[in-house]
Amino acid sequence: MRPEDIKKLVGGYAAGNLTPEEQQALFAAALEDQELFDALAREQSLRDLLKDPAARGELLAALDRPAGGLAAFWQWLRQPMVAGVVTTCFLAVAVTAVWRAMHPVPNGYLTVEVLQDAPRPSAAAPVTTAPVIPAPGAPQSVPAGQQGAESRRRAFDAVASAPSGSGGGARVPVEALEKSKAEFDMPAKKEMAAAPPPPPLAAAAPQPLPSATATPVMVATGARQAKVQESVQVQAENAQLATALTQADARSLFYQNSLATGVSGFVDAAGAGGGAARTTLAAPAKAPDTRLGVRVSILRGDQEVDTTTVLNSGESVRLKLIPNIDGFLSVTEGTRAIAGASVRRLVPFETPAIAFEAGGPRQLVITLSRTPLSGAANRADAAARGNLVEPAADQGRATYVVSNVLQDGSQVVVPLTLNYK
Amino acid sequence: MMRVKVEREQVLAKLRERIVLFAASHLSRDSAEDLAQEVLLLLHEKYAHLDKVEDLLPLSLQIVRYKIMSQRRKAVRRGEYTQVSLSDIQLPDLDANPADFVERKQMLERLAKAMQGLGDRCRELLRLKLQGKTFPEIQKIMGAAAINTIYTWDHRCRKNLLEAMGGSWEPPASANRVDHEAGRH
Repeated sequence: MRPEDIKKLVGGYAAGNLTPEEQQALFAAALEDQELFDALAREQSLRDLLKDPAARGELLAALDRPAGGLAAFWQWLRQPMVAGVVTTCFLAVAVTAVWRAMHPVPNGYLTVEVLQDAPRPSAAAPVTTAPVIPAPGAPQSVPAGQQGAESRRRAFDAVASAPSGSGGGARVPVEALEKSKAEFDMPAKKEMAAAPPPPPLAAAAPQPLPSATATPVMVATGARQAKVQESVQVQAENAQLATALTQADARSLFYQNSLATGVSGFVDAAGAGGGAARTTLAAPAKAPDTRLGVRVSILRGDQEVDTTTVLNSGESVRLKLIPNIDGFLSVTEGTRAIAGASVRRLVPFETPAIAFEAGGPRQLVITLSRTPLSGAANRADAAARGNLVEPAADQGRATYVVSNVLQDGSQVVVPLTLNYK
Repeated sequence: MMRVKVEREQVLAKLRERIVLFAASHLSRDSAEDLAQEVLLLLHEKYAHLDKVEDLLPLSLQIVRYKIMSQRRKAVRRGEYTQVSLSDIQLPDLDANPADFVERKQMLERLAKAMQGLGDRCRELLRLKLQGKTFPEIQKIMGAAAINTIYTWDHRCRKNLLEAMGGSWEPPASANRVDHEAGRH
């Protein structure tokens, strides 16, 4: 028997499975080999245990019991085929992980970088608009995102108009109104910012746009200033908002502005009553952010046509101009004044007849100002930059132009091109 | 007769050498030599009729184990790990005692638990070994082509079983105590 085989007999020593020849060979080798002797000495405790027939019987019973739980799973896992499959799976996962680490794929979140060049000359550019609050009961479709604000608005109106207690016509408590106003304003501003404003309004109280929105804002700084990174969800909201703002056309802004002054609003009339502060409805309100606007159309005889209409050479037409504020209006061609007058809000102003014999475009400039116009007129292209224009409105009969400057709305300059055949 | 006696003396001499080296790995060198001397003394006095290595070697291993256990228990009982004189080392008590019973029970439980995690072939091989079958019988039963195959299987299965038990047949606490005691010596 080879020495390496003799060492394998150690297992038989403890259980007493060795034949006399194997025992003799093992013990003789153990006398000469200290390592083998030590191995036998370490087996002695097991040998002593297995000498007991009861212990053997117990171990045999344990062997007959099926392995359960973790031992069974471990035993099953050690089967060659299972071990191979598990190893293959682990390798596949590892290779996939490494491959994905080396070749990153875009995840569900796309980074969107919104860069804003301001100002924009395009009239169709998205603008920041003051959200419009529809009048209670106004027959118009309310966008889904605005239904919450609408419902709160109606609820507030109901609170404001409902009689208090049994006494019909009694005044609504001031505290209730203030609370209702606060409840209405706070969420309404958020939802308004994310919802498309409705078309023309019957009664409105313009709300300032929350600054938290990542909407491209047109501010005439002349430098790339806004750099916003948003996730796809935010981008989706912004896209929805941008769409809504685009839909908020110049016509809506024109009339919104005209309705802003003197229409209902929530105003603290502190001091107006000479006493304690209290809130009133339908009190004269200070005009909020004002957008100057002009409705421009061409009168061909008695027929009103849009400014994009191509005119015949030598045709005599008039301009019909409707401002949305009380102010001063002028029409010039270059440095030559064609018409000018003091105008009133929403009162049409018609210029004298204008006729050009030569064909081609003729460039006019319409200026609406709060104060009397000075002799030095602004450059039309610079002053009109950022205006919001909606041509062919009112069933194709007029063009609405509103300024895009919220705060400094001292004037709006409208370049007008008359095209002659 | 004289030849047998010479052979016995040669076997005992080799046994003493092996016992000293083995015990020295658990005890101090002096304790190991004392232990070997006591084992040989016992073999001379009590087992003088045994002269074959097949009888002497297993018996000596058993005596060594019992002496080490006895020495350990005594040290634990006294709380003395450094002051055990040679004269105090008791002769092995081969009768069963409560400590043996507990250790055997623990070892049995550990064995039974470890055997649950073995593969089918190892379990079958163990079953046959516990039934008292010799390796040639096991070879026939399991249908192995050569006896060396059975040796190899048994070697691997024993190794797996020993690993499942933490590397030692005896409870780890016992082994640690023995090592700790050896360090003290």
